[in-house]
Amino acid sequence: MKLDTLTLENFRQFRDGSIEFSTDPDKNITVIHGQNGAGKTTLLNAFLWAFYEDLQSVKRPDRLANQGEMAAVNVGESVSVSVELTFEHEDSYHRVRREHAYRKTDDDDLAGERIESSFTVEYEQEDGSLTTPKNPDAYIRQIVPKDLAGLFFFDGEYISDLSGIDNQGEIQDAIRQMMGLTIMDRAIRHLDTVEHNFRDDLQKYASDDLKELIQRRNELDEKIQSLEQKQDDKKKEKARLREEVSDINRVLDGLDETQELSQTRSEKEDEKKQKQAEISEINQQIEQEVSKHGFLPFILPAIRETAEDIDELREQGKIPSELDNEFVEELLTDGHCICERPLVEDSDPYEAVSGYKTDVSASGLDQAAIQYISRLSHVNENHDQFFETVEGLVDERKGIEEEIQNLTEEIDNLSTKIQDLTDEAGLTGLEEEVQGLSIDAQTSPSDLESARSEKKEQIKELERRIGGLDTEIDNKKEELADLEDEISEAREEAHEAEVAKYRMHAARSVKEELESYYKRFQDTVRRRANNRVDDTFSKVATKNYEAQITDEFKLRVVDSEYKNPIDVDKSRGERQIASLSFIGSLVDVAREQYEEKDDAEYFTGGIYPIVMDSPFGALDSDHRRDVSLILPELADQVTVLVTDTQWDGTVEEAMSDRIGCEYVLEFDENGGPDDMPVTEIAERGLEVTH
Amino acid sequence: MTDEADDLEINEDALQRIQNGVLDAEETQLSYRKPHDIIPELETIIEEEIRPEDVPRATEE
Repeated sequence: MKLDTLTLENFRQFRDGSIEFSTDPDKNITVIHGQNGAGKTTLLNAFLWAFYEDLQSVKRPDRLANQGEMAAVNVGESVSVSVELTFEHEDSYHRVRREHAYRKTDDDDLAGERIESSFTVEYEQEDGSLTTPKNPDAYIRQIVPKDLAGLFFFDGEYISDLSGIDNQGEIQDAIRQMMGLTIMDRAIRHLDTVEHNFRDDLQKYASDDLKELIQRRNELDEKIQSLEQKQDDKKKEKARLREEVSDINRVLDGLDETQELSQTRSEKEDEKKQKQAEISEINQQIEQEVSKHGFLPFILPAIRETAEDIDELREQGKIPSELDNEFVEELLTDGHCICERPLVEDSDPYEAVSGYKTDVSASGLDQAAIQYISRLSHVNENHDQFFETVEGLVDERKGIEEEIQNLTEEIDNLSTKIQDLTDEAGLTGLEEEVQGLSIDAQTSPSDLESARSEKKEQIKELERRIGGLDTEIDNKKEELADLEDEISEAREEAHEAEVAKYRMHAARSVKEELESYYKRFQDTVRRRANNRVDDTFSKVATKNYEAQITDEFKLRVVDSEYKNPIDVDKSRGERQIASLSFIGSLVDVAREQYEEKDDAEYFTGGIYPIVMDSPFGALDSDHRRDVSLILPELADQVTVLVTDTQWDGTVEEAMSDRIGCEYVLEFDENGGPDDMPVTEIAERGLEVTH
Repeated sequence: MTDEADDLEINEDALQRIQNGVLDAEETQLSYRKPHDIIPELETIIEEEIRPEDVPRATEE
């Protein structure tokens, strides 16, 4: 930023006037002379008001309008107050104007009531046209952050406080903002919060459930395998027993005494098996019938009720009763009446139904009712048919069951007969055959039959166990399927946790990278500022002192005579010089950063002017000279507001070669309208003598 | 499940894009007179760079 002009209108004691700032790099000082009360501080405040509408350091901020003008206008009329600044920023012309209008409310009203306010910012574009930013406040704050304003527009009498403990925090913040470190600082802080949020997500999704579920699934798998193995063993055992029974049957079939009984029994057993298969088939048919038409008994009452209601409506004439031609046509085409009678062309029923056709079209509702009733009669028929079918199948099954019962009794009788055969009926002639089997060679037919019965019982028991195992395996498999669903869900959650972990890691990595960069850059800034402060300070310091900027960006003055520098009790002069050096160093570093612009996109730095009210404060002559030596070096553009007392011969002599513009604030206590005080701005040498 | 994330490998380009996105968002935020809550915005920047399909699925069997 390079200041061009400042123009005031009715701003406090200034009715009008403007200042043109020196932009000559060799004569970069603009001096504004003014006695105490002439308006030097008001001029300084004009910058802050124009940029930020800040009136914090103004006494009676309610009396912004020029009192003479307020006194001169009539009640109800208004006075316009404005400050306009023009400056160059990044090679582009800028104009900033803040304006308020105050209306006089009564004869004694010198403050006025604010009725209008405006803030205008415009700047020149590359094509030379002027444009207005969307958010003028934000735009100005980007050029000169408000927090930094205190470093560039300040009252020199208080500048020595810059090295005071109380102001260090403010200075540190200002430096951070000036160097663009604020963005990085905020990013680091916010990324820390983001990292914690992702950590919360991780903890929300992460659990040991998946591991436990997988463990349970594996155990269940093993259990099912074990049950299947057990079932397989039982099946093998059953097969073995069946084989043994078959062997016994073969022996019994080979004996004269048992041959007929055994063979008959085998036939009966085959027949029984056949009947049992028939029962299974009937059971399947019943099952199919129930699943297909089983709903009918439950809905029929509701259907009947609906049919009755519709019929009643028809009887009452609420639904027209004429038959729809289309419906009659459908019945004739289908070849079946609603009573299921076949409708064959040229037959009586066909002719009867055909006779229902009328010339009058039935209404849509009538048509629907007829169709509905027709379908209801079908439902009724289906219902009856369902019961007939099921009852028929049940009867059939009952008959077969009786046959099975009879066969079982016959088989039992045959078995008893074989069992009752005397031991004399040995196994003569079959010894060799028996030896090859899993039965005792000395056994009699009676014993063989006993063994057969026993094995049959064992087979039944095995079948019962195999069935039990079947149920158990099915249950476990169902449990396994549920567990697989749970695992799938847990796996998704585990992935969510994994994603959160990656995001947390990303937030942390970026944060750490920024922290490292922040530290490196901060060190660079501090080192540059330190060199500059010391350089400036050592040029003018009268004692063997050094000015330093600490790692925390604090300013301190140390005695360099000691090997380990110690803080010294700074005099006001040293403090003032150190503080100005400090500001100068920051302006310098910001400018360097701006000119280089290669360190980082976000550390842009900037070019800043310095406007100081009373830079020499109450310093003695020696220190005034020292300060006047360093002032031109502080920034590209320096404006100082001074009293004649401060601007003594030593200072004038030291600075004369660097002065580009010089003004005088001419204060007249009764020079304004209605004898109110007024200050006029005049170029030095052109001032009016009152 | 541990929250130790030091052994994770994340694409360097993605990290650089996150860093730039975060700094841009912070810079924009500073220009507002009434700052909004920037945390969800930063989370979205990271979520867009680290999508679920980019993260390998854990093998725990």
